[in-house]
Amino acid sequence: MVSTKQDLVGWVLAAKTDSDAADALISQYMGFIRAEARKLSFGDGEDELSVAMLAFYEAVLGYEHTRGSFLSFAARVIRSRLIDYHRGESRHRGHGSLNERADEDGAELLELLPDTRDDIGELDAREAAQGEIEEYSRALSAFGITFSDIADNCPKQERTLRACLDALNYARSRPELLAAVEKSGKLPVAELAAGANVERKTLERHRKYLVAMLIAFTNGFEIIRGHLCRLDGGRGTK
Amino acid sequence: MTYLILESRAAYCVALGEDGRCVKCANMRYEVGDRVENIIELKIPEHRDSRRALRVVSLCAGLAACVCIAFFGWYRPNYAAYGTMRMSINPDVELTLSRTERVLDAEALNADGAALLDGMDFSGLDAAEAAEALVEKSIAGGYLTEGGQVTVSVDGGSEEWRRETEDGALTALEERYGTFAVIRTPDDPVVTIPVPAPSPAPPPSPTPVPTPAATPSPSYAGDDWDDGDDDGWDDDWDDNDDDDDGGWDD
Repeated sequence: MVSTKQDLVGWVLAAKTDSDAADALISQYMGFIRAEARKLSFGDGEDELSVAMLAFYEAVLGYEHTRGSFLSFAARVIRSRLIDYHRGESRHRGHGSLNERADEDGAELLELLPDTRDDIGELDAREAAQGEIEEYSRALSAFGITFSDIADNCPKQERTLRACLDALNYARSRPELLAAVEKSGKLPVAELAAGANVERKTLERHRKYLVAMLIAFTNGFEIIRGHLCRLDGGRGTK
Repeated sequence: MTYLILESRAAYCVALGEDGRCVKCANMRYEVGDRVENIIELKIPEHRDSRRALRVVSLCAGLAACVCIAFFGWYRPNYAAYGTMRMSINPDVELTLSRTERVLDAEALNADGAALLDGMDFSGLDAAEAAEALVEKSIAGGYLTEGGQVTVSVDGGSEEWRRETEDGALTALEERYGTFAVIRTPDDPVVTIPVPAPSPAPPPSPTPVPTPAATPSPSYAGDDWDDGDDDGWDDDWDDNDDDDDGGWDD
């Protein structure tokens, strides 16, 4: 654990913008997170632990000096998150679980059901997706963009998201714009604003997100493009 | 909605939705390339309690400021008693005034004042207007006749306010009734307006002095007083004689 409160606060502040520092902080405080999760856990508590880790990260992002001790704040956030999680889960009460034991031998219900899944096919699809995502990550890192940046820079408001998607759909119909983005990593804000009738300021605020999405529409990322089937209102991406 | 997991970290995953939304979510043992449907999205905690408290405090402070502005800027100058103006004609009346010289109340200080105030409404009037209304009704009621006096005195409040209120009322009355009555303050010397004298009555015509008739010898009965002088006056005014006989009290 960190020796002083000042050290911990400094680490927390660094972890706000540095994902690796956040991972290191979480690893360091896994005992604390596990102890907090156990207070509101049922069963094996694996899901609760995952939720508690997310809550700890949320506490890192939301922490300010004025909020007192970080660990007290993080404990409150974890507790609130787990209560919300259990509220959501309580909606499924009364439904059977596939992980329930089906007989005295201890076999789960899931094991007794006929297996209709194509595990090999799924594994292949996942590996193909993983390969494409790695390639996509490398393409983005050439422009200094990470996946966390995309998530952080993605519009939260529905109206803003819709405006950005309008700009993306306009750019998809202009191969020269996609080529320019792929080459330079710079967003043609003026052309997009004029062509899609979107405010320039909106595009500038979400520049990283838009660049990442436009790069996904260049050649080589068929799986990701195929996944974005609802980008243009469900018409599909070819 | 299906999400494609782009990145998997210790505490969270980055997931790309089919609608283009990219979010961080809880890592429920996901791997990169997984397609998942139900995710637990990351939410940065807000300080709801302190923000709500701040909002409540701001609201209370705003309301308090409004109340103070309303009280000190509007109610107190207009509706709180600040001083009095007394008008003495014969009816004696005291008006309670606000700082803005609005008439808040009128009190009669004698019976004529009560009769004068009966039926009068000062709402919305300032001190000068109320003074004019009082003088007008005094004239109509016969309390103030030509050459009469109206004494105005102001008390309470600041020195400046007293002077301004008094000057305002005096000026208004002077302009309207200055030639009819004397408008004054208690400190002013008593001045009377010269009232035109009525036309002189014709001098009485001299009347002949009646010759005293011979009177019988005086009877002492009824005489009760005599000053001892034989000056021709009837000393006790009972029988028109003055014999001054020194024996009888004529």
